[in-house]
Amino acid sequence: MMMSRIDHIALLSLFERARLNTELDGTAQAHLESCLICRGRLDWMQVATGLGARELSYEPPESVMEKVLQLGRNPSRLRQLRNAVVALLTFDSFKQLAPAGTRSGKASSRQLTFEAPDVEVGVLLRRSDDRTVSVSGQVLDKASGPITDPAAQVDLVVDGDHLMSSSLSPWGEFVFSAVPNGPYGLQIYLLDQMVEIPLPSIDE
Amino acid sequence: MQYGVRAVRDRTDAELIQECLDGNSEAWEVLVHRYTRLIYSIPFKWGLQRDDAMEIFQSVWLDCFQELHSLRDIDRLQAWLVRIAVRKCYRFSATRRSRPEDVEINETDHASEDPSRELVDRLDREQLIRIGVGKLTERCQQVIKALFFEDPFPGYAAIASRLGLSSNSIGFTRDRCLERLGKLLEELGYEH
Repeated sequence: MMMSRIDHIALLSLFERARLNTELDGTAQAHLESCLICRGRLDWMQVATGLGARELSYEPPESVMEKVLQLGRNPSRLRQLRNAVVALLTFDSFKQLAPAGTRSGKASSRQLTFEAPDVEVGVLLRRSDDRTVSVSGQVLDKASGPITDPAAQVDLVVDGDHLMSSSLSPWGEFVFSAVPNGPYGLQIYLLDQMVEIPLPSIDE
Repeated sequence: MQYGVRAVRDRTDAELIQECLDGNSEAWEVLVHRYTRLIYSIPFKWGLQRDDAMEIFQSVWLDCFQELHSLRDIDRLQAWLVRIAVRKCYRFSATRRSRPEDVEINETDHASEDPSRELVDRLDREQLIRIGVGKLTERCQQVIKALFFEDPFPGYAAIASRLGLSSNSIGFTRDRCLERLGKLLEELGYEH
């Protein structure tokens, strides 16, 4: 839609008011009510004015940017992310019947086993106190035992938010201590893939 | 070439994410630069300090990197990034004894871990302005930044001098740049 010259001049007047953050007078307000384009443009001008001088300071330090950009500079890690698989639960100690004579109650630990192509992951959830648990486990190559990938990494995740990271010991072990009780996920980066493991809560 | 001759920086978020997963590091750089100011601005608007902002900024991008595979099918990466950044701000500010006075985000925005609709709308509009300004010519970018972002306002004579223009023609340049930005924002779907 084309603007008339009068609309354009009125808009510039509105712009100056937006820039100077001053109230609109009666004439300007009346014009604004009859000019749809001006209303739209005044809106973005006010938002731009609201960004203000701070906008030029929203630039992270170079060292911080470098760390972020560095994440994507490893093509093999990027491709690892492409091969994401969800591991299958194959054992859950909570699903086993309690031996006759055993009282049911709040369990102090829960053992789980998961399988993904080529790997098996054992996980132990252990209650530390009423509010926290420890999450530990071992990643095994189905054929050859403990995983031997020095770059392997395990992340503890909740709803897309990565809380903690751990590398694997030479025996493929990892541990996260004093984690608030709740449902989590594990993301294990190893070899050419990323294995996702949805973990239940220790009370579930 | 999968996306023809279009420059990497012109690709959509979904295309860039797919390219990242194909091992293209440049796609990651473009994605990060596209949302740098938006993400880095949120902790400041929340009233947090520079050190916190740096930590939150890095943490949001780490999450994004590690979730790239699941973001392939997401409609709006921007909304996801904002949600993660706000959630981290919320957790950071919960550990502070009192909130600083100089905050742009109001109390209702602080009420939950998830950003309010109003906040998301405002951040969306600010981001569209950034994108629009980024698409202007270098000269127009200088004019718009001087008009809206410099404090104190340098004055038209100083802007004209910087651009090598006469004081008489700066008004015309300003009008043209504002007009161009307005049109770009309409094309980008800016809604008021």
